[in-house]
This record gives sequence, C-alpha cells and structure tokens, in this order.
Amino acid sequence: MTEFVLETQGLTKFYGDKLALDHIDLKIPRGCVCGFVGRNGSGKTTAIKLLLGFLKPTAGSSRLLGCDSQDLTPAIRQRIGYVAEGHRLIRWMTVAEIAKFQSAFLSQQWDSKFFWDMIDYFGLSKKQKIKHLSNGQRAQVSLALTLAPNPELLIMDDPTLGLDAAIRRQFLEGMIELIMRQGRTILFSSHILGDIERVADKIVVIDKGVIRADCSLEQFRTAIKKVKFVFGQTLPETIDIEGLLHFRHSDKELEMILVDTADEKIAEWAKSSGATDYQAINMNLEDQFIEYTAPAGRNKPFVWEAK
Amino acid sequence: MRFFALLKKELRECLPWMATAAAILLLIGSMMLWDRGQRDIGDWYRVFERYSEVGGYELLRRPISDFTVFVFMSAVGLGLALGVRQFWVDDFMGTWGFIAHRSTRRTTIFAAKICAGLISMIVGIGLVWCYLFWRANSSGYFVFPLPEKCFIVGWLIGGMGLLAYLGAGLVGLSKARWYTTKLMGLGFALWIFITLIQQWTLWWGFGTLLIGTVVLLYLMWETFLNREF
Repeated sequence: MTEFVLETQGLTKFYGDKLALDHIDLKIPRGCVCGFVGRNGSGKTTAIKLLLGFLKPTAGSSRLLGCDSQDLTPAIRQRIGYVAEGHRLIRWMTVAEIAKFQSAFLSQQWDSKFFWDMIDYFGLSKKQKIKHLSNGQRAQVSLALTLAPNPELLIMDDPTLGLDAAIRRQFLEGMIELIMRQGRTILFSSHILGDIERVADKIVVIDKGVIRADCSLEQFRTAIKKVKFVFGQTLPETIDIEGLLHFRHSDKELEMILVDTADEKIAEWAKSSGATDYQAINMNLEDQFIEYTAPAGRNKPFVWEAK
Repeated sequence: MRFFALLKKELRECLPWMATAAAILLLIGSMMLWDRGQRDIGDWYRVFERYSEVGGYELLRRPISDFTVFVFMSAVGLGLALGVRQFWVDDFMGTWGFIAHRSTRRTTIFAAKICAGLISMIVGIGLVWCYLFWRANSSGYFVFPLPEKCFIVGWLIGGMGLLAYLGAGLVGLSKARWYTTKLMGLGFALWIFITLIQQWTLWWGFGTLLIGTVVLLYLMWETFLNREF
C-alpha cells in the first residue's frame, strides 16, 4: 500500500472574502519529487503555509508525515525541512551562529560535517554575517541548513527565485543530493519550469487557487499539445475537437492547444474540417505551462485525480 | 537547550535597545544627582519630612519626582522598543517562517521572547535604578537617607515600561484589519497607566500593575498561539 507523506482534503483558504485556495486535494507518496507550479498569486505559498501549520484553513485539512498540519509536534517538525521564499534568515547572525542555532533544535540529526562541507563547496566563510550575503549566498546557506539534518520531507517555496543560473544549478545539485538518499520526499514550488523538469517526477499545477493538473511529469509533457492546421480557403466555422483548451488563428492558419487528445482524433478532425496540412509543434515544459494556464483556458478545468 | 537557544537569540536582539536605555537613564540620572548636590538641600528636607508622614506613594514620589519622570520615560521608551523589536520586526523581515518552523512548541518560542524582554527591562531599567538610588543614598546628595518606599516607587514607575512592552507586543502580534482594533493593546496599556497613577497607595499601584500585566500577557499568549504566520 502506498504511504502518503503529504495529504490534503478539501483544503480551502479565504483571506477575508478573497478565495485563495479552493478545495485542494493532494496526495504525495514517499520518495516522490513533486514540482508545484503556478503563476504569481495562484496560491502556492498559501498552500505551503497551510501544510506547515502557519495558516489555519477555512475548510478542509492537511497531514504531513501522518500528523495534522495544525498540530505538528516538535518531533514531526524535526523531520521536515522548510526553505522559505526569499531565504529569510536571521540577518545579524553569522553563518556559524545560524548553524549553531539550527543545530540546537536538531541535536541528534544535525550533520555538522555535511553542513560545513556544503558551506565550503559554496565558498562561504563561517564568519560572514547573513545580512552581508547576496541573495544567492543566502539561498546556499538556507539549503545547507535545511539539508544538514537529512529531512524526510523537504518543502521549498520558490527556492530558486532571483538566483542566477550558476547558483540555481548548485542549488538543484544540492536537492539531487537529497533525492539520492532513500525515501526522501520533496515538494517544491517554482516559477522556473526548467528546474522542475530537471528534478521532478510529479507535477502539480495550481491556478487561481484550484489544482488544474496533478500527474507525472511525463504524463503532463505528452498531454499538452500545440497543433497548427493550415487551410486552403477559409477556416471552419466551428471547432469541435475533444480536449480543446484554446486556439489562435490567422487567415489561413489555426493553432490549437489540446489536452489529452489522441493523435488519431487530431488527424480525423484535420480531414473532416478540410485542413490541407497540420503539424504538432514542439513545446518545452514552460511553453506547455503557459499555454495550459493562459487566461483563455482558465475556465476549462482539467484535473487528473491523484492516484 | 531549545529554550536557551531561543532565549540567547532574543537577548542578543534586545541588547542594543537595553544598552541604549540603560546608558540614557544612567547618564541623565547621574547628571541630576550632581545637579541636586549644588542646590539648597534644606528645602528638599522640609518637603520630604512633610510628605513622609502622609505615606501616600504619590507624595512619596515627590522628593524624587524628577528622577521618576526619567525612569518612566526610559522604561516606557525601552518597553515600546522591545515590543516592536520582538513582535513586529519578524513580520517586516519575513523571518516568522524560520522561527515558527523550529522543532519546539509555540509556547516555548513565546516564553523565550517574554523572558528576554523581562530580563532586558530588569537590567536596562531596574539595575540602573538600583545603582542611582544607592548613589543618591550613599554620597550625601540628600541630608537624610531616602526611605525604602522611595526605592519601591521607582520600581512601580519602571513597571509601567512593562505595560508599554506588552502593549506594543500585542499590537505587533495582532492581525486585525483595522488600525483601531490593532492598536487596542496599547490602548489597554494606556488605560492601565492612567488607572495606576490614580492609585493612592503603593500596594494598590502594584496591584493595578499586576492585573494589567497578567491580562496583557494572557492576551499576547492567546494571540501568539493562534496567530497565522
């Protein structure tokens, strides 16, 4: 039987009368690396804060490592690593002081050698104050602090935001280091789809507080298609193809974004609508995400149930 | 271990404010003592002789009233600064997430903050007051020794800083949408101030301070435990 490290049931959050999360149902099994993606203001940070018990849900519930998020005990928190958006650490502390502070809460688990090896690898000094570090260096310290206790579950809120390509790569390598340890689960939100593509095996897409995709990365990659049809004379008056999300057109060309539409169906529609030619256009994950969450498609919910 | 790690962090954050308040109080207090030495102390003696017979704290306060004004100002200033530092700044800096995800109970985090605040108030105001009182009594600034009650009055006046601290902290923790609601913590502290200075005896004064402190502390604890970060 699959063990779920993270589960939510109908998780809903209102800020005043503004709906931030709408009945989120998520299940993440042990050992999974889940990329949590959405546009700005889509509800990613709210969801993460609810999971960690920093916010109270308006309705629904969530569980981390089998414990209700609202009652996370110190022993459970010890098993969860959390990297906050913007890597907000205590600014007046030096790297050595913040390591000592962190280790005071994780006495048994704290791997001092691992932490200092990472700090050396990043080329940081233990005497540097957090407030004097650049955004990227703070991210490196934050990652080392989070990975040193070898957490069972790592939750990261847009950890690579604002980092340059080189530091982002180092950051991802740090994550991969954790992934390689058996049974470690990661949930990380990001705007950078390339990062998700490199490390995630599952993707959850959230838009306006609603989960719009929850599937394996591979399934998402194959499901979202962009197809361009060319017509000799005029465009067809109606477009009735299964899985149509939205379309754009010029005088003689029609470009469609399709979800889970079989190739045979596409060929069939091209023939019946009088298209002279059609071709599937390659998209990277970022293009797929943008097309999938584009405003025109927002009213067309498409959710894969969590397995 | 976890509590002490948090306490150490909090004390370090309170230290600059505590040191500043202590230095200001010490400097102004010492200058006033020196100034007092230059005056006709016979007048002070006559005033005090009359008031000490009555025994009300408001009257007992008078011979040292210029001192207590500065004790009051330093204590309230330090209280407000500590309340802001400990309970507002984490919101501005976005560090609540880091603090709240410590593997310890919220009560422990709260207790460490309050202990650090109290220690800072006691060291920054209380100890300086002890030193000033001892100096005033030992080096001939007054023609007679000041009674213990004058010393206790200083503590009561300094205790008002505690109300300012808790009131400012409560405002910082409050997530109320309206400023009027948000500022209720300080409003309550102000109401206790006013009630306190209207008390005639020392013990009623301490009683009022105690009630105000307990109520504010309870409200802060409740707010902290149920707060969203």
